[in-house]
Amino acid sequence: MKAKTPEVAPQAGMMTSSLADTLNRRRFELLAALSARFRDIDLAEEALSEACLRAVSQPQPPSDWAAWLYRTAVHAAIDQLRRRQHARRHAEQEQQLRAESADMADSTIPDRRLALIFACGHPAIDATSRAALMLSVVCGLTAAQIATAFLIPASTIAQRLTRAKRKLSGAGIIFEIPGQKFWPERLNAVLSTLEVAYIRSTPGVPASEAGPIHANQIIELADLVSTLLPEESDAHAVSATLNFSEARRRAKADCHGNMVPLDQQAPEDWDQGLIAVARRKLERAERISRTPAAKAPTARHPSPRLIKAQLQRCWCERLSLHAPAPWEAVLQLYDQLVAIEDSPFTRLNRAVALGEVEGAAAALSELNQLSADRMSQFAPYHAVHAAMLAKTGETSQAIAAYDRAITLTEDQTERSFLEKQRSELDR
Amino acid sequence: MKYALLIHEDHAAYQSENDLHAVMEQHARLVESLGDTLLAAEGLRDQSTTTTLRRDGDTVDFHDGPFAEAREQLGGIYIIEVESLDEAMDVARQIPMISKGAVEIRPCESEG
Repeated sequence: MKAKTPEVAPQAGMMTSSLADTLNRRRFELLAALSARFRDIDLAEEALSEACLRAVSQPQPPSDWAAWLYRTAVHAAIDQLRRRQHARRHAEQEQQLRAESADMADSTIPDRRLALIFACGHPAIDATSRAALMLSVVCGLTAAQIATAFLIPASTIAQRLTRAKRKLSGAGIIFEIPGQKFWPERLNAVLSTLEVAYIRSTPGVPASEAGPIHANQIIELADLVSTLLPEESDAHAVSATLNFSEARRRAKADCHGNMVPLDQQAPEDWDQGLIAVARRKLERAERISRTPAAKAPTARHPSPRLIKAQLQRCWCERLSLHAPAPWEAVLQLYDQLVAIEDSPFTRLNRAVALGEVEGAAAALSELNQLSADRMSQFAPYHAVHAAMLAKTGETSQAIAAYDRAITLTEDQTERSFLEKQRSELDR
Repeated sequence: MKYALLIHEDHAAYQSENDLHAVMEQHARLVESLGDTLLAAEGLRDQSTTTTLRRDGDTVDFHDGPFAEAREQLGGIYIIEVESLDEAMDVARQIPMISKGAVEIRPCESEG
């Protein structure tokens, strides 16, 4: 047994820093194990906070903070359940815990991270709440941070989080990795949640806790998901796409904050480190999708997510503005994409590539095939239409289309880009 | 876990006896395929046959209807017992309908 040392202060300092460090690195792991064990995220969060409170007043730091926090939180959760008068149902669990406590020294925390990610991304929860839940539970963000990103009041986000957690514990959503039957739908829900969260993020690494959501938090999460699902092509493809897009983020605006279109971005401004990471992820995704053993029958075709990542790579392979833009390869990929995912948005993007490869007239006839009804409120449609009309010399129609696009665009940088394009036609 | 699947449909969409017959046959097939998963299933008669009790403290009133303005009305219920919400959603997806409608997937309070 250790003798009491008079040097309490430095020891306490060491203790708290290693506690903080543990929480930083393993909060999600702890929360996942607790949530899956009690099938209740709220209870798990409360129990973990309680354990942290107790940790601060520990006289001696344990040898393994994570294991200590886990055990303490399990006890706290059981106490809480007993207070809620559900004690009988959990009595067995407690006995089991007592038995486990016998060899606390090597108690390990079960890895339930993936189970919790799948629960938070359950398709029975609406898309915004799903993203909010993922950011709150998995990334540890506050309601205020999430609210900033989603442009809705923090109280609304808090309400949505409460409702979603209640649904998770009460609606029979199981905290398990889904089986084969539900796999495609459930995986798709998780991946689209990551995509939604990324779109809402701002660049860089978080500077403070109060700040908005930062892209690298979502990218880390996507990396984690792909690491936990090593054989899932789409998980690697999403991770690749996010890394490619992040690599180009700095170049998306010039020094005055004006938007720079993809084909005018200087590749020297792209982050080659992130591009290398993205490329490895995509190669992995491609390798898996070529494997005949890939489980889903749809895996015979490249998935839309794989093609989208390949589109990103096409651009990121450009080394300077002197090199020709890869429009032909882009058009080929959009042809493939339209064949499996025929959405108006995909057709619009294809029309842009078609305009570059075959000329504006070809793009215009393609645009005319899109349903004007569905497109009337869609700013990018009018922007692309305007650009193609301008190229074919239909100046007055182009100006009208730019006006429409400008009215529908909320984003300030995009709007000023469009205004600049329009003013060049006025001359 | 037990779930009630509450089927809401626009009954005006059933134009003919044949429509109704076709959908009922699909229900029968679903009921058969569900086997032990299904605890109960009932189609409900038209809303015009409904009587509603309203209580306010000790006062009780009976009314005709509800004659809600909504075109969709509760037209049938399934009670099923499955492992998870995913399974319940899968059953709900198989519920036949003549055109548009909704199935409310409601977990039951009692377990097992």
